[in-house]
Amino acid sequence: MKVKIGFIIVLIFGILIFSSLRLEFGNDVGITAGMYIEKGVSETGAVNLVSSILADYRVYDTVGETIILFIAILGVSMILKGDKK
Amino acid sequence: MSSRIVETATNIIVPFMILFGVYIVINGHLTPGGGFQGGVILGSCALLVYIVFGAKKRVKGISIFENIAFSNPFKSSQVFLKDISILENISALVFLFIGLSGIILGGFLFSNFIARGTPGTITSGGTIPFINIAIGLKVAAGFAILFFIVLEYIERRD
Repeated sequence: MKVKIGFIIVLIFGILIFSSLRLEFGNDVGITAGMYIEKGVSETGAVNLVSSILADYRVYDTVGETIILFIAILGVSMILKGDKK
Repeated sequence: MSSRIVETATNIIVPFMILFGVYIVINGHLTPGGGFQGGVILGSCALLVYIVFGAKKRVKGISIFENIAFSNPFKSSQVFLKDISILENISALVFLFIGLSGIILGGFLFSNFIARGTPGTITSGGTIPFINIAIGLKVAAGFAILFFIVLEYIERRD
């Protein structure tokens, strides 16, 4: 059993390492990312690019995150909050 | 519940943690950080206070944190929970209100309708600082509620 699990782990790591050797890093950032880097500061006025993407370009994603947090709190308080008698 | 050393150290550390969290939120458009990160720092302040002082126990020694930041959370746990739930809802509504007012003033939802300002200063970024502050308050209040409910459940079960 241990030999089988070890074999599977070695196989998965081998596949990951082999496939990561073929990746090319840092060559092309794509059209959208290049636009963010070039025009981000002038369009939003924020120096922090991550913040300008989170709160300006991709703000719908942030809305979804806050709704997820809200629903998580709702669920926790529904399950764990005590009875008022 | 805990020793006097831990309580005193918490009273000293917590104001600086709150200051650091507020700094991360307000400077979210200038330095690394933002609403979520600063809000989590502020929420972990609440977790520290809950763990050290207990969620229900009334503490005699008055700390700065008790009086200024959370308006004496040990006065009554249910009242405190109600207050902070209202804070969470209001900050979520402010966040959505900024987005909806973008329709009227800017033309589409969540448009950046305030003047950009010079990049690098605290007044730059248009609506980004306001969105960051709203998210920061919401995340801080949400994590405080989460920790409060879980710790209260543990205390009640024991």
